[in-house]
Amino acid sequence: MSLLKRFTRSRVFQSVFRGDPDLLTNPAAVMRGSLLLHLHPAKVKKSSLRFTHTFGLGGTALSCFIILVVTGGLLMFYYVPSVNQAYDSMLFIGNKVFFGWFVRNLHRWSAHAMIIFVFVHMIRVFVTGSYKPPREFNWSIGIALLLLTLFFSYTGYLLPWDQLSYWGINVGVNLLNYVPLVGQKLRLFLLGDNTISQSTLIRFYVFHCFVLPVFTVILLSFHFWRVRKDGISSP
Amino acid sequence: MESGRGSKTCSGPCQGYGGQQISRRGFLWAGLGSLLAFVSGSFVAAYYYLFPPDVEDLSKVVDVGSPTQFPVGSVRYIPEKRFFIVHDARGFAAISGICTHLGCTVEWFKVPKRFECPCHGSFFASDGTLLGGPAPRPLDCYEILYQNDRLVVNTGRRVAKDYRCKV
Repeated sequence: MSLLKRFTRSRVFQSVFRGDPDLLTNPAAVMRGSLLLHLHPAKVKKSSLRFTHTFGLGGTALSCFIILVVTGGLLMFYYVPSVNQAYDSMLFIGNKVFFGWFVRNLHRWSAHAMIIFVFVHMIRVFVTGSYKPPREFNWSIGIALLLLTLFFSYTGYLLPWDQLSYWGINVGVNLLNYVPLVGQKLRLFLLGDNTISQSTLIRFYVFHCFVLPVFTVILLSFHFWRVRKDGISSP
Repeated sequence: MESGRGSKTCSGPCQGYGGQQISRRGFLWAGLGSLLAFVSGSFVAAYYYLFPPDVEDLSKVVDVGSPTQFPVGSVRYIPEKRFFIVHDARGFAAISGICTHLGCTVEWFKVPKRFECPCHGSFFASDGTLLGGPAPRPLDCYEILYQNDRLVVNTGRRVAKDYRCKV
């Protein structure tokens, strides 16, 4: 018996991966037995698999998101969301921590890339008419995910706590004053104060690192599940 | 597309370095290997990233100042390295402020003239002798030297309880 076969027939492997013992030699069983591969549709039209039909844009946006989660988690080990320490901790990451400059820049550039890819992904979906029934609800989820992505960028923008971020957020929250009826309340909710202060920094930090990721992961799961169920639209 | 399969010879893009032919399977294994190398490299980088640089000055030798700042009978706390400078009739001593029970910082009380630990109530005499409480042994004493008109404590060197620095 080959080493691979002996491994796949072992009790440990069998307890982790469901299905028949020769799972690895049966591609369809691999697809059904693995949570990650299971995210793919069971059947697809060959024409829809052409690279130039989707350009892999949604997947690229997801890759950006994964990079952002990993690098963001690493940044959280050093970043301190306090008005006295935020800027210094950002400099510390960039200048002192091993590979810190790389992690921070990777986070920054992936954030830019994610917005671009989400946007181009939406253009592709629009151009191929993939928003039409039965996929119209998934299009709506996509809109929500676009807004979440933009809000991610907006909240992350304040965190370095330098002049650029302070005045950038200042302009952003003052725009809320023009929103009828709920504008003032919304502004107070975001700032936690009448001006941008420590309460604002901690709020933006919590939005950026907890609230938005939770909603994004939930909506992403739903988004992918709908792609799996509805299938990829055929050209 | 049909090039690179089996032992078929081919011209053009599948002709590898030095005229060797790379099979599709070989190419995929090489790709998987590179991916694994990249991922494990990232883990190594992340490992080093997670250990902070220059956490604190690990030098154990502290200059606590001129002896005139410590009159006879005084007990003064040096917070940076958590020890006390005790100046009694016999000279200067550096007594560790770290309780030998579970590491809280002891406090000096002038009235019963003793160190007391706020956590579990161990108490020690001014020379570090254990007087009571759960602590298993007396407070540590550090080497203290008189150099160029300054008192210098080395917290890396422990000395006996009756060690004194005379100026």
